[in-house]
Amino acid sequence: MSAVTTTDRRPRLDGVVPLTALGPGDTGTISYVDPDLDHSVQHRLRLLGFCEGREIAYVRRAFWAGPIVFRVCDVHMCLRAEQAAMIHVRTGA
Amino acid sequence: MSSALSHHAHAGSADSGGGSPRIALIGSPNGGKTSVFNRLTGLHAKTGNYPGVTVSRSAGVARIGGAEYSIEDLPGTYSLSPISPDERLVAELLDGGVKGIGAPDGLLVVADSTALRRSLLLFAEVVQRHMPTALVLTMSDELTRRGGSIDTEALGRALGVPVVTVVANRGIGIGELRELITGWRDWSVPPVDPPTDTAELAGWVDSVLAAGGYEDPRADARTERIDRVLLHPVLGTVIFFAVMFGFFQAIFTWAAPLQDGVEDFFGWLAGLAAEHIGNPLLSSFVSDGLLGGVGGVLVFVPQIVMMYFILALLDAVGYMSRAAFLMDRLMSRFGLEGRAFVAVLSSFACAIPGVMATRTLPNSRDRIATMLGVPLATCSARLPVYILLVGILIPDGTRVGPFSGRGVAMFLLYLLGGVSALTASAVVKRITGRHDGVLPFYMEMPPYRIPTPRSVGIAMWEPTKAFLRKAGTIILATTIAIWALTTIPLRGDAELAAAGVDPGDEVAVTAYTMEHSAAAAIGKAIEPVFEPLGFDWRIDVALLGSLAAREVSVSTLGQMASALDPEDDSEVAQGLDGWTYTDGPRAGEKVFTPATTVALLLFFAFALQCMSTVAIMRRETGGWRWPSIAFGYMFVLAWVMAFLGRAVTLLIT
Ligand SMILES: Nc1nc2c(ncn2[C@@H]2O[C@H](COP(=O)(O)OP(=O)(O)O)[C@@H](O)[C@H]2O)c(=O)[nH]1
Repeated sequence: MSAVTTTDRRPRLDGVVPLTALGPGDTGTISYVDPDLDHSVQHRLRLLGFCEGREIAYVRRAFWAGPIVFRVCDVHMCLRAEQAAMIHVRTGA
Repeated sequence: MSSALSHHAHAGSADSGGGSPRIALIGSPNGGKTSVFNRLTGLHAKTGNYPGVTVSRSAGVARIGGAEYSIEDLPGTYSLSPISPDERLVAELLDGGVKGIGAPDGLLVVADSTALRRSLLLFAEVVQRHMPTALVLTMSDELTRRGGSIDTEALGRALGVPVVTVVANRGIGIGELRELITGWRDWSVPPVDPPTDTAELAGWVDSVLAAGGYEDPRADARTERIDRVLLHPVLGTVIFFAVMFGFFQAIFTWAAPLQDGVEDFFGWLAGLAAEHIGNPLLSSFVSDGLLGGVGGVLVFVPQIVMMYFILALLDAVGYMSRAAFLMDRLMSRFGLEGRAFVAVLSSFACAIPGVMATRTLPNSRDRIATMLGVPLATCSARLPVYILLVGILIPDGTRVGPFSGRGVAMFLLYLLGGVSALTASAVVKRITGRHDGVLPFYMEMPPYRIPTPRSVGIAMWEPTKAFLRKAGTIILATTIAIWALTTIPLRGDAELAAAGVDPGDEVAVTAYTMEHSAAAAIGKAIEPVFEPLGFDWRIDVALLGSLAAREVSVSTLGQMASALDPEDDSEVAQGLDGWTYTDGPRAGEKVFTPATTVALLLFFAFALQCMSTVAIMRRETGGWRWPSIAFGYMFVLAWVMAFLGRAVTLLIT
């Protein structure tokens, strides 16, 4: 859990960062899904719309460090921070 | 009616129409698959379980132009590559690898047209199976409203399969879909497979959609506006609690007059029966056994209908996924996920809907864990028992600070129910989860929708019907069995007189009959088990009675305490106050001491004294294993908690 919360601190938004580094309203392009992740889980994340090259927007997070809603492939999909941290995006800046 | 019946008869046999073509619906959750299925099969679906797994199955028959088609509604999924044992089922079904269920002849992919960039990913996996496939696009009304568009024919050409668009919840386009199904033999297998490498899939989808002239829908402005309020950290939380409060208000306060009405009506009917049936055994059977049982079922109906109405409405509008989103963090502390919240919430009305609500959880470990926990929540059948026992335990007028002592005790019991339900689920999840890895949590948040009365009606009717069927038969059967155990054989006047009971004194006769009934014999036989808790055989008989439905134990106690009105709390409490042990080392001592009362309260809080819940668990899990485990662990837990409660109370009083 603590590992996730540290990535929550928002660094400079450029280059490739995990999804958890974004904040409400930020957008990016999915760069890669963590290759160390179990292959079936990588596959599932892609089929949920988190494919390389897709535009993604961080919409909001539930209070008390709950799950995060992203807008990807025209859909609002929510993930817990553990999984969101596995997806890396290139931000526009 | 006759056509509906014949429909039903066909759908009834497990794998009906061995010869009729089998079409399977595949699609992601919330894409409109159930609506399409209901439109095609006309609500005559047969629901059950897939063999050996806790995944519920619904299959039905569509009649199109005199021919019959078996339609199978596969569990909603985002991918055919399984990440849990449950999901393997869908893949196996497509291969015909599930025993007793043949491979489908044609596949109908149901895709939300407002989410095509995502939905076509699943489609790509499906066509790689090289089976006759067609595509149904739902939500076309929403696509248009949000400024998007698609050229169905061009998309069909690009994909190489037939495509139709529908508005599934309003039945628009279903005629075309039915026509499409009749031509399933001509559904093509696309000549060129989509890429198998998932990293390239997005590009494939984009090119296909470009060929189909797809215009992406705008973000739904209405949903954005509503979410800004409903998911606001402060406002959203306040609204969430207001919704929960409204939910409980509705199922407990608004349903109460209806429930009283049902109770009064059956009381009146029973009175009539008792008056007009000459034969005493038959009269007792009709008034206490039959009408008591039917009344016992129907008294729950207003509450259950009210609850399902609210749940169906909240779900159709789109609030349920928001509630799950808000509650996910809390539930994750107990190893569960946000969606399990609905199950826990429902079980505060009744464990049966709670157990049924676990269907929405995507993996079976979560389903089992939730199912084994929710019967501990304080269901409404425990309420009358708690009111009676708390009334005995805490004198009227006791105050804890500004609150009434009884109120505080009730609140603590509710809290205990909630906490123990979640804790039990967490423990079960731990135990069952040693072997497989952690599954990712994901949940789609659909746009807010204005539901049609029909879709809400269907969503509330299906589970209500299941409740009536399952709980109804069980409660009725158990009530009649317990009636028989407590009343047969009837005592003749001579015997009564010999025992010093006035045959004209109905209350005394009931008490005497009960004391010498088969139930009493059972109660006495199991007395040693409960003796350490301070229960005497009469309490054991009441525990037996509670197997029908917990609140029955109140009237059983009342009858044995010779209360004039066994339904009236204060009279029952008065009767119980005078009880002393009839035999054994404690003979002559008072039974309902604070220690025994606390023990009984705790026993009711933890024991799975409800056959209907057991039956519904069996149905949902497809076997006796989990219900037996649930009954066993809860019995042990209840016994130990009651024992500890008694010991502590003895220490402090
Ligand atoms: N506007 C619109 N709503 C739909 C359509 N099809 C289904 N719905 C609604 O979308 C929700 C989800 O549909 P459902 O059939 O339960 O989806 P499933 O989870 O895929 O089985 C329900 O509230 C439906 O009433 C459609 O074509 N247009």
